[in-house]
Amino acid sequence: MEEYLIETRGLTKQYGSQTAVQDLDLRLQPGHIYGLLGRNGAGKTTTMKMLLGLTRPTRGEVFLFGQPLAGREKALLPRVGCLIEAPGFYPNLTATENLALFAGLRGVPRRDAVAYTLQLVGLPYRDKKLCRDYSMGMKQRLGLALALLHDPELLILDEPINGLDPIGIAEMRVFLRRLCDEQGKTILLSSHILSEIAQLADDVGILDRGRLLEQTGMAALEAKTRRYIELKVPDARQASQLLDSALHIRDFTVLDDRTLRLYDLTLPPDRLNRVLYENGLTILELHQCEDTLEDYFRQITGGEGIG
Amino acid sequence: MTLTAWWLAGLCAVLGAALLAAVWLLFRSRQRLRYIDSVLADIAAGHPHRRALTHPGDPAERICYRLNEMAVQNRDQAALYRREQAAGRELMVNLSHDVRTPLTTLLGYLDAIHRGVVTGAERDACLEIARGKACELKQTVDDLFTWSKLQAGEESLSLQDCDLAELTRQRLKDWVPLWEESRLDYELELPEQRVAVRLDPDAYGRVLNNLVSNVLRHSRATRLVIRLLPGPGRTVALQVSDNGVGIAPEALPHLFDRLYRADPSRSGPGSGLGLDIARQLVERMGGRIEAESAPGAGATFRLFFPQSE
Repeated sequence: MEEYLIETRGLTKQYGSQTAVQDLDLRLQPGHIYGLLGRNGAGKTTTMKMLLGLTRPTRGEVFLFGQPLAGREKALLPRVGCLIEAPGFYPNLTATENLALFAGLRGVPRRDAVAYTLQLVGLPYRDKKLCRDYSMGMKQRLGLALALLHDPELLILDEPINGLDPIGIAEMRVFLRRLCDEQGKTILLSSHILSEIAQLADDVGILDRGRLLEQTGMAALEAKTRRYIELKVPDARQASQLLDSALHIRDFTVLDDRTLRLYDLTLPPDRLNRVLYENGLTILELHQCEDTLEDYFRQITGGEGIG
Repeated sequence: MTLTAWWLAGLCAVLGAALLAAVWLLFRSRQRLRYIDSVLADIAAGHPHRRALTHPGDPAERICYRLNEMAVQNRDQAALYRREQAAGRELMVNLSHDVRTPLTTLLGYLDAIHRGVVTGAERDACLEIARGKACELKQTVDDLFTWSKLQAGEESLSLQDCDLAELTRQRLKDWVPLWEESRLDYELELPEQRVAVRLDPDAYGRVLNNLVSNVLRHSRATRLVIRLLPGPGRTVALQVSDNGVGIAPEALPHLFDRLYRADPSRSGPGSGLGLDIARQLVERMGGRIEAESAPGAGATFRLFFPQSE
């Protein structure tokens, strides 16, 4: 069986008395896009920094490509490309000059690596514009180019859609998906935007206050967000009693005095409607819903939602 | 010390430095070779995305570039292979549906007749329908054979000098009764003078049949216009236009692609291979096919062939 491209065991980071990351057991499968989802300050960037050897863990271990990172950084990190916070470009140089500099430092996999990578992200080659005059979106693209310059097997991207407009976000999504599907790259990205992760990731890790609350495949997560029928009635108590006695339905929740949620969907809505009506209960509103990822997130992080 | 002694010392120093440099270069080359070996071992062990990084001035520079190039080619080929496998599987599933459905319906009608559920005129009508379904089925199977042969490059076309106008007239003659029966208003604009092309007449006939039968089957058009016009450059264009339901913009780029059918319910007759076969045949004869359409505004198919003479 294939090993995990990234694996952490009990990864912990403490800054004095503050625990930024607690006991993380992250597992990233090759060829997948893993979305690390969490609010700002949940510990996403700290985790990524530890994965890249930029900061030393207080406890726990990081394994890259099946090998411990500690002591093997020089051998393993050239196989990783990253985009963390603001990439450090020389503002008085052009994009091409900056990349050429890093190419010289890192080594390149092909003779025309700089030109090729710039074309890949849609930036001009040998353009005269200096990096300090670049827009946020272009800087982000250049950062991505830097991450891809050495054709790494693994990409670690911290909030890659930061500062992009809606079109840029859509383009980034398509781009990352292609990198994974066509070039077989494995991508770990972080975001606090649920919808983006939902659209892009194969696997999801939910990080909250330094803890990994959940780590599953996207498909499993979508199955978990349950479907239900929401009823608005004049009296929830009467409704719940009727559901129990007349229909023997127990799998429901009362939300407030007038609203119930039925999770038992074996009964078709029209029959439900008829039986309740026959027993003297008017249904004011009935609709079928799907629990969104947002609701689920709110649920497992204890109610504060995302953002 | 004497001058000779100084010279000797200097020479030794230079030789010593050269020796050190040589040893260092040797060491570095071996180091680089070990690195490349580890990359190759990794790739062989099932990590096809490993790359060897290098700099200008590296003794192993060109080897690294070539290694990476080959790895990329390998990867692309593997991806292509996977896509083709997936497409092949999908094609099989689609086709089994296209064969199974009319066959099931056919059997349904025959069962009704067999059980004596229908009699007299109704029975005759059922027989007619059953026969029609069987014909559809045969067409699907024929299409599949043709398509497979085209894919394998085994379909041989015999190109001959033809008069496209006359050829078209001949082929469309057989359609006129069907158009009249369907109350389709048709107009043919074919020139009297010879339009010289080099085509396989049977293949051309198939393509024309496919386009025209699509109009009858899918477009729900009331009007059909077929024209033979001069095309761009030294080509001649055959244009088949209808005023039917048209084709959705999402479907247009995939129209001549074997798996794609514009009707999302996929319930209509036909194997979905027809237009793909048409495209392949046209291209094998040195021509080009294109489609233009807007939903609700009909569709126009154009075939371009190079003029001979």
